Amino acid sequence: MTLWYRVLQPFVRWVVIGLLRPRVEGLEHIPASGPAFLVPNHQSILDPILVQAICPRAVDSMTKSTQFSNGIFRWLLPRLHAFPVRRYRTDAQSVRVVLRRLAEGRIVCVYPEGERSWDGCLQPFRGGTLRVLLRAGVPVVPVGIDGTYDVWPRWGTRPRLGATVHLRFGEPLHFGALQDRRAREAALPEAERSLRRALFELSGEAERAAAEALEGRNPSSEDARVEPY
Amino acid sequence: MALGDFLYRCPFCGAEPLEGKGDKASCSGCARQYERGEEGTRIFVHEGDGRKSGIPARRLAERLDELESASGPSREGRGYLLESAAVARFATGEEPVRFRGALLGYVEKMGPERAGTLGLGARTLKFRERDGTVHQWDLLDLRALQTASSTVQVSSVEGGVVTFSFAGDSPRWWERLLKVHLRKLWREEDRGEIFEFQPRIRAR
Repeated sequence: MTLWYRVLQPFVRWVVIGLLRPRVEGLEHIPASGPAFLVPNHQSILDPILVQAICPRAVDSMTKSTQFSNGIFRWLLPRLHAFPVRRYRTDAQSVRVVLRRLAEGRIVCVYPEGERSWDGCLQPFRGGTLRVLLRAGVPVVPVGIDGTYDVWPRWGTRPRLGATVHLRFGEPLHFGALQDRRAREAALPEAERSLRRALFELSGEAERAAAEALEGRNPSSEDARVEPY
Repeated sequence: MALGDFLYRCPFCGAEPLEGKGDKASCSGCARQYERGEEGTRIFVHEGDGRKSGIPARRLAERLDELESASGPSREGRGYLLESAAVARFATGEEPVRFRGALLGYVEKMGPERAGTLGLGARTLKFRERDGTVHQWDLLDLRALQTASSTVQVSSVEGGVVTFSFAGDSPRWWERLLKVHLRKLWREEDRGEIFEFQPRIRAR
């Protein structure tokens, strides 16, 4: 763990707990030692801060390369265990960094949706991210984030505190270490289904969809078309 | 970013773009007003007759999807499906990011901002700078497409990423329209059904 991470993490944790008051569940699902993936849904710019602040172990984050364009962030982010990924091409270097860090027994956080959701709902997963999960063969801890969209949606001009924020760590998924490309491709659909199912439940989206379905019976509400997973 | 970036046209009447700034937007077509709700997942919709309802953001997004499949943008003109004032930045290369001697990855080196107009045609994407310089991409040559924060990024087979930011239009609107149009074009050219737009456009 870098000195900067060691110094800043407790401070950010204190700020995050003070301002967002997140309800945290399932911390016991994070392996106490050894490599693992944390795989959260992505609702808000606050998500990476929240995950790193709450996780009891140091978290290395795959971060979009444009974040490193700014001089200050370019200096700071590596010290907070972030590394860049170019999203407009298959970035072999970022995959190498992921595998290297896992080999060192670290926790790596990747966002399978690849970008923040505009409407707070789970988006399609990026095939490349899933392939890395299948190749690495380490426990994959799904992390459901619920409520950060209420605090600061992608389109919001500023945060609005007061919403209830949940952070739920799910039971680790085990996909095995599929080194063979064909085996990975074959396993991809089932892996995607398992992860989507887990994030759908943990992020509270299943609950919201059910509530909206009930609300749909109310004639005053607009057409309640609910498409549960 | 603003509510108008998410609701790039009125989910009820289809008029676009919505007017307003920040967490409020209004439709000049049906006079509905939109406002960020107490919970971000809900958006308050003020009807013309004074009624107010909190509608889940997801449902409004679904309405936009329905409108998209039913009709294109209403601002067709000058041969473009959509035309917007934009600021472009062209990648001039990539720089390595290192930490304690180890290579962490690469980051795009972006050139200066160039103001102009971006137009989406039937088969091309054209950016005309204020000084008259024209940059044009064949849509079938685009290799990847994505939104990043408030910009739309495209890369082409010729290489290099270009980011576009819009003063009066939504990057989401541009991204979605480009996706719809690219899917249609690929189908027409028998290139298959696009299922992924990044890290590169892939079809099956």
